[in-house]
Amino acid sequence: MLLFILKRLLALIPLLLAISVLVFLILHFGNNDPAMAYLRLSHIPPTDLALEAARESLGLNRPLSVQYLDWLGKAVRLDFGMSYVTGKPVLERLLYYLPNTLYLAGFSLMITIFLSLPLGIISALRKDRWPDHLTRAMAFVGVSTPSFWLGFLLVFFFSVKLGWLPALGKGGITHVLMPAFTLSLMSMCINTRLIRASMLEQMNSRSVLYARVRGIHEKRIVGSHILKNAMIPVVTAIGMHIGEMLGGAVVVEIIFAWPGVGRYAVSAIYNRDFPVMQCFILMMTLIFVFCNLGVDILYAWLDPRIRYREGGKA
Amino acid sequence: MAPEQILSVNKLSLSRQSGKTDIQLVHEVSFSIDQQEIVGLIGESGCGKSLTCLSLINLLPRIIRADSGEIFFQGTPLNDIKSSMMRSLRGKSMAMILQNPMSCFDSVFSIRYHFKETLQSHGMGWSKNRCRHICDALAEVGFENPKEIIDLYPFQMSGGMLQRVMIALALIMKVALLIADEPTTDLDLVSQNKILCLLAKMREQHGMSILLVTHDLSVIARLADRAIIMQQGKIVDSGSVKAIFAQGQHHPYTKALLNAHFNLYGSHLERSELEIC
Amino acid sequence: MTTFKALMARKMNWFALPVIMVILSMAVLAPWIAPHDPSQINLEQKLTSPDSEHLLGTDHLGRDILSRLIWGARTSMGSVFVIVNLVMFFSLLVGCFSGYLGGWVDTLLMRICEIFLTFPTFILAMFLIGVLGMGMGNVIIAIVLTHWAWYARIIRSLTLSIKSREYIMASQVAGSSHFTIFTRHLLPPIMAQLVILATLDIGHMMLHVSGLSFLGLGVKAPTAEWGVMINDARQYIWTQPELIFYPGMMIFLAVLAFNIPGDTLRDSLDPVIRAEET
Repeated sequence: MLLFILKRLLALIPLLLAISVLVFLILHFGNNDPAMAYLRLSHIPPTDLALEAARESLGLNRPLSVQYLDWLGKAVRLDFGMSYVTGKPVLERLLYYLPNTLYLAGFSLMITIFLSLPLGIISALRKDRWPDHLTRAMAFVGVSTPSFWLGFLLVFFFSVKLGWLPALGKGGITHVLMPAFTLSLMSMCINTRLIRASMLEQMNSRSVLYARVRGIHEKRIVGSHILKNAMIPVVTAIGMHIGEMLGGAVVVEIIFAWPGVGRYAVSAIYNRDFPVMQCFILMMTLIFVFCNLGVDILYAWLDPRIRYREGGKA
Repeated sequence: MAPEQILSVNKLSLSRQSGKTDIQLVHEVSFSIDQQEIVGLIGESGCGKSLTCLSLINLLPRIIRADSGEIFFQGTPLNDIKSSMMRSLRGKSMAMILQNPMSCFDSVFSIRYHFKETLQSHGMGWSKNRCRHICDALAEVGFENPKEIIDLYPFQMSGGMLQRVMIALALIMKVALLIADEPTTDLDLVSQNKILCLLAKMREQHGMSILLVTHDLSVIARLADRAIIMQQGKIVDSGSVKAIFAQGQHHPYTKALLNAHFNLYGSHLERSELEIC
Repeated sequence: MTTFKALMARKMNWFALPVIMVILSMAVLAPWIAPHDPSQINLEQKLTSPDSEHLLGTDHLGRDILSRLIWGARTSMGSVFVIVNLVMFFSLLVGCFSGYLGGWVDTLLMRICEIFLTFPTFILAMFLIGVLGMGMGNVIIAIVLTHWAWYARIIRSLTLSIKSREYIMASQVAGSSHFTIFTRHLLPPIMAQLVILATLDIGHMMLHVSGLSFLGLGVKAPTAEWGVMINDARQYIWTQPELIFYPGMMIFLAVLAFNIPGDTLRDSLDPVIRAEET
């Protein structure tokens, strides 16, 4: 098992390097002009001479590979540059907002898992009866609902009309309920359908038949054989949900004025604050990559075939 | 004293609904199996052999209906018994070994777990003694290192090995009737031989009755005492294996089977003795 | 069962297909059926209730909401149409080449795909827009760049499975040129699968397009787009919540309507479900 984890960690390194190359290239070929931004921040009029001098001092005339290595070196030392807007270190600001986003995403993930699990299981066990039909209909509708519409609908009902929940900002648990639910809806519906399909596939499997042939109690069959096998694809899907939530959090933070990195990143885009944007994408991608690694490890722990195939002990 | 009748099936009929009509899958099948008897059930694929077996243990797929028929196991009628009673019979008094054993075991659980859950479901506790019993059973079915086998996962074993584990599961529960559904179909010749020898051993040394389902007449020739020949859901011929193989009046389908068998394997009845194993 | 029959058999499609037709008609016929100019600002008539002239009322700049919804269909459907075509084109190109040629080309292209797939989709799209600049064109580019890799991988495995079939080898032995094999044997089945996959994804892409527009990263004012309309109406949630409700409803109906036949198509391709239904 340890060997498996080690192999996966090592495989990450070239991937992370490749990601950094891509981000750097996109940054370079975009409308990014650090020289201009530098002059603006220093309140120096951007004459051609000044621009040229700025470019020279910022090292923008060096070959691309040198610039990349320089950039990478700084990134590894956690120096992502200064904001074009504030002139202050970018990473600091993002790290200030990050916990809020993680709190929101984490809460959403909890909601997703705790609601989709029973719904999916009941839907499969009561196939073609009314709980199944209802759940499937709700899941289908949920998947088609834009989160930025749902958010406002919830605010309208629970804040404007009923006054039960606060509409904006971060605070106690009442503040996080609506944003987290809005963020979780898409993943919850996808997960419910996935659990249902996975369970149905297991319920009709030959190993379940053989377990019945041996006279195993039905409860035990459902609890161990069906559930454990059915959860394997679901665990893998958690990685996808996390990606969905990291992206969706941006929209939800805007709707509910939640002080997270997503909201900060959007304002950075308006302000063409490239250092913030680049740090944002690297940060979120890193989180995503490590979450996926965690999911892979969990998957290998659940399914001995994966561990065995990758050369570890079964 | 007449040998005890382990299993008695009387006019079993199974059908399936397709659209508005009923398709008859098995039609008034009747047969019986005595104690320590090996009865072969032979017929082509799709003739209803597997369905008949599943109906014996009441695990027919939901779309298949049992229209009529009575099944008696060790004198007890199985038709209307409570499902909990049926469940306790399965695996403990009547065991079934299935073809394609790789898909029957649950790959996320070890062999040890499969034994454990079977024993625990029949009220037999789990203790160090049990481990020894399992190792004994595994040794009995031909494994040289039962202690290693017990910790393996199904995907680490071959089809032949898993088939033997299935027999070990029946052995450890000391079942009275073993239903073997095409046990040799997916196996290579060497494994086939091992399994057939093992089945003979189960009958000789452990007193099991066996219902041996196959489409291969040579398997019947080798192992069975009596044979039942099915075609399209009906029993077309039955009798002792010697009688079937002797020249005489037979149903046309039986004749066709025999001809095919003789063309492939020659004209004598092969009886496996334990020495071949 | 032909695709159309399969679609008609499901009652849900009786709702979905007409809705799709309506939305597509709105998109195509917008210049003729919209009662007003969607960009016409009339500050004296801002935030009015529905009346005979403005069937759904007006927004905060006095623009007719109904017209903006109709023209919004044009923007949404138009951009999704372009995105789907571009994604299909690029993924087909990369996937087929990768699968057919194999070797280092395959490895290189698939590694590139893998890199793109490592990013969370929406965030990568945001970053691309941040770098390229805002506007619908860049939204389209961003969404194409974030989605092509997923399709390319699927096309590649389809290509590989078809390539290994006997009739391809027979064709090669018979001396057909690569081009012939490609166009006659490979492309037709792959195109069929690709079209189905893309159809299934239309709803998802529409959510991304309107999501990015909602964030203000998409169309420039005064172009009408449903996501933007929701953003514009945010501040009026306490007084005129219907301004948020209408465009959101349109997005919801459109995505739902495209998801339903997509679901049916997926089920009709799944042999297990087909067997259950007979």
